[in-house]
Amino acid sequence: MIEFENFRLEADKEPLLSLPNTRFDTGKKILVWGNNGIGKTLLLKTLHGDYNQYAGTIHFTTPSSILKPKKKKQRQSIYMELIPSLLDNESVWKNLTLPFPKLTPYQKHKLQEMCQNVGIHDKISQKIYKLPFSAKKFVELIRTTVQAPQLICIDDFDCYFDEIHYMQAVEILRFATNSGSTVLATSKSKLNGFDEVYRIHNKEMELL
Amino acid sequence: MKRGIFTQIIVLTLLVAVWSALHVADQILENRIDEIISDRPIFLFSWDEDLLRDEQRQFEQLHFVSEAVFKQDSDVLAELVRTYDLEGVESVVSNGALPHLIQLRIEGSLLNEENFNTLDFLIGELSDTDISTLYNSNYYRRYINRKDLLDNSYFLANALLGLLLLIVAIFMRIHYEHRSKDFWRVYSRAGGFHRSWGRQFVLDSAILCIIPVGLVSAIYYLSKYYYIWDQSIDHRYFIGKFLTLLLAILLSRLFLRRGSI
Repeated sequence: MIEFENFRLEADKEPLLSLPNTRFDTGKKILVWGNNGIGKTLLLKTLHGDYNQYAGTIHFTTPSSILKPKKKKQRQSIYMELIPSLLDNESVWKNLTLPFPKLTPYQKHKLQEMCQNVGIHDKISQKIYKLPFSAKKFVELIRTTVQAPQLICIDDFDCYFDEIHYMQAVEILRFATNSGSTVLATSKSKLNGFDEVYRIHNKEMELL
Repeated sequence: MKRGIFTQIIVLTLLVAVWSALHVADQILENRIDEIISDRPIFLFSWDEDLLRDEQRQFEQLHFVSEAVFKQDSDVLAELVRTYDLEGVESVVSNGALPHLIQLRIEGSLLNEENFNTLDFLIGELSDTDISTLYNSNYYRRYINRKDLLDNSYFLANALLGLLLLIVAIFMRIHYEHRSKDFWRVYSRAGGFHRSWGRQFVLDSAILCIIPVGLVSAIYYLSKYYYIWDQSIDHRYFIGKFLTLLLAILLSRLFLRRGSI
């Protein structure tokens, strides 16, 4: 769970966006949409720890260890930028397994299964640079969700996929939330398939 | 990344091997000079046996004199007859016609400037006595100069090779770490743990310190074991090479700040 307390995002010491008392529950797909330059990306970067010009407090609360065993070395957040972070001269499989110190049989199975679902299973040994942009983004998305971090931040989610691929991507996000991750995506327009949708308007974030 | 480590291992191993070969080459050259010095005897002649015996005792006390053999005139005659095939000459040469002699040999490895001066002084003093000498001061001086030149060249070559190894190791380490920058950026963005870079750096550093020196020293000790060569390299030289590589790693770590990778 992520809780914002009197949170106010700033850029060049000017207020950009405020979230007086907002809470993102664990296991939810959350969409924040709005026009360009209103602080969507900075909000994601702030939650990821890459941006610190803000006032107020952000609380990250991990699920109780009694209800759910604490995952060893669980990554707090993974931030997916517009340009996919991939090694162009390495294979799809190498990119998929890159951050895993030791791939468990379950993780391997899930990676293969998701690749099958989005139709890139036959390109698993191909170099990344040969893939189309949407396939690259799928590789990044699959890799992120199988790691099951506390928070997945996806910038400009509406830029990557056509309608069919979009539905497949939402399916992958569903797997992520079922694994205990919170998904926070941004877009320029309202999108379907999210549990909570926020709109940024007049420097305020409002739940629709 | 693996190719980078492999390249570094090959280059560093070659440099360590060249540096180790320098010790062997120096020993071969120095042994050759020592042999040349030791092979050439100094002769002291006199008809006065007692005087020569005194001198023999004096020269025997010098630690750098490996041999001081007294030879009676009759032994000298026998040796001349044997060497030059002069059968029948003994009867012609009257008793006392040939002097007695002392044959001195110098231990080449112990002959230095100070010992040479002592030897030169002692032999020079003999010119006031009834002892004649067959001794070429310039000959020894020339080889002492060669030994000095060899020592200086050896020292300089060691310093240059050590410096070269240090610089090459630092620059290669920094170069390959910068080349892997993209990998670590993507790795970090992909969710990899930030300590992995440091862990990998330590692991690669250990490999780069141990394998080149380990490989060369293993080849050296195996060669010694199978009598491929006689020259001995002090094991401290290998420790020195290991420490040079370790220093290179530590310096490159200073240049590679965590934030820049």
